[in-house]
Amino acid sequence: MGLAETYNGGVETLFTAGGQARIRLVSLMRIQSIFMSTGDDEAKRFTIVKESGKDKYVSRLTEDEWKTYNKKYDGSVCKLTEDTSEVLNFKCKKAIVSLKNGKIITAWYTTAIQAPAFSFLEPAFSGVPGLVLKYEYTYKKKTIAYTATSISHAPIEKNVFKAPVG
Amino acid sequence: MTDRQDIWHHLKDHEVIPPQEVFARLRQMLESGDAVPGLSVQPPLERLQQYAVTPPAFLGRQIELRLGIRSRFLGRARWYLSAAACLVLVVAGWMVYRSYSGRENNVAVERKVRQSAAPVANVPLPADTLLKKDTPARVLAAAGTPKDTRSAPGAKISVRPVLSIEGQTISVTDNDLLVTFTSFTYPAIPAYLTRNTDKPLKINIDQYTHLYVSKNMLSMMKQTYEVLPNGKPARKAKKMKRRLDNWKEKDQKRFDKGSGANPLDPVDLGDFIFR
Repeated sequence: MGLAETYNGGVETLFTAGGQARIRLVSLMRIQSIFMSTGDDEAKRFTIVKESGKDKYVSRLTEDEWKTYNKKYDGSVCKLTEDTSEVLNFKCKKAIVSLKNGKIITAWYTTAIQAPAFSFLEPAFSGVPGLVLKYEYTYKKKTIAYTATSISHAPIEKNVFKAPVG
Repeated sequence: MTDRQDIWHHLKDHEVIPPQEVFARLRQMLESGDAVPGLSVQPPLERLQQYAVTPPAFLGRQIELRLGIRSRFLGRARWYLSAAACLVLVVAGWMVYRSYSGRENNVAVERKVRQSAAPVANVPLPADTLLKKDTPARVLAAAGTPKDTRSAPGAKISVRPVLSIEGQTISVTDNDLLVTFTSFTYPAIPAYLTRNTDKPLKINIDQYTHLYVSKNMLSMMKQTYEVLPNGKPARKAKKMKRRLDNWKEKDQKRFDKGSGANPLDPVDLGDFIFR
């Protein structure tokens, strides 16, 4: 058993409302969020926040810096297939995202829910025409799998989208 | 009178080489195997064997190598034994490798989606905002457009100070979940950390998120609380604690302080935790 076990059972929560978005990972090892907001100039801003531990930090990135941060997805190819899988009673189709370096992410998405903000927060799925409810990545014969367990349309507190100041 | 070595040596001092024709005649008789008057009926070689002397070991080995009979057999046997030993080592090493790598489980992460048309302020949230599939999602429309309010202070960078586990509330130590679950002191160690179980442990973080701690992770955390009869931490406990600290250090080195790696990215995370 290795370090991977500290991330096993973790939860990734995606929040979106009014053009803002946040993705948060909660695991035994760390809690971290990425916020996306749109300024008056329509430019997107990204804030990475490590929320757990004694040493917390905040990183702010412009849209260009965010693209550089995710440059491994430049030139990636998204192949849509007809394979399907059911997740949370949504019929999802399969998409295969192939990176330039040969790495592959397999995703299942539904077109019934559209959340374009998430495609900025998750550049791996920028070419997927719907909301990704399940995806997997395999490295050295071991797989990390994310599966949606709930979707909620309940109101979200404004503070959820407020990145730390300073 | 036979085998009198003293006489033999004395006689050797007075030996005379026989005439050439006598020597030739004697040789002829020996080779043909004819009986020689006055000599034993034993063939010459058998008689000579009475005076056989075992050669030195190094000479014996050289004779064998020269003959190539016994050494070939030994060489083949040695080769087979060496090959068999190598094969056993390779198989044993492969089995050890497979058993170790097999223990590394795949990682499962839950994914929750919270989508609303616009963020709202001052709306009291129910304790559990999880929407059941058969409940109409109309709460947002009734709330209307949120009013502009004074900017709220930035969210604090911290984990909630308290968590809820099996109905119990616990305080978070050092703003860190892993540290919290490995820092309890006797007798305050919760039962869910010391009991034997096959089920993951559910931790309620806040109204949006709960976390599951795998049974393997529970087992490791449980080990950090093993003690000796005198109450001091057992060697196994200290070793596991060091291991967890080492993992944390590696994780921070990989993902913190502008490293460029993103733990929310599946490729960055997968490449790191499975390396």
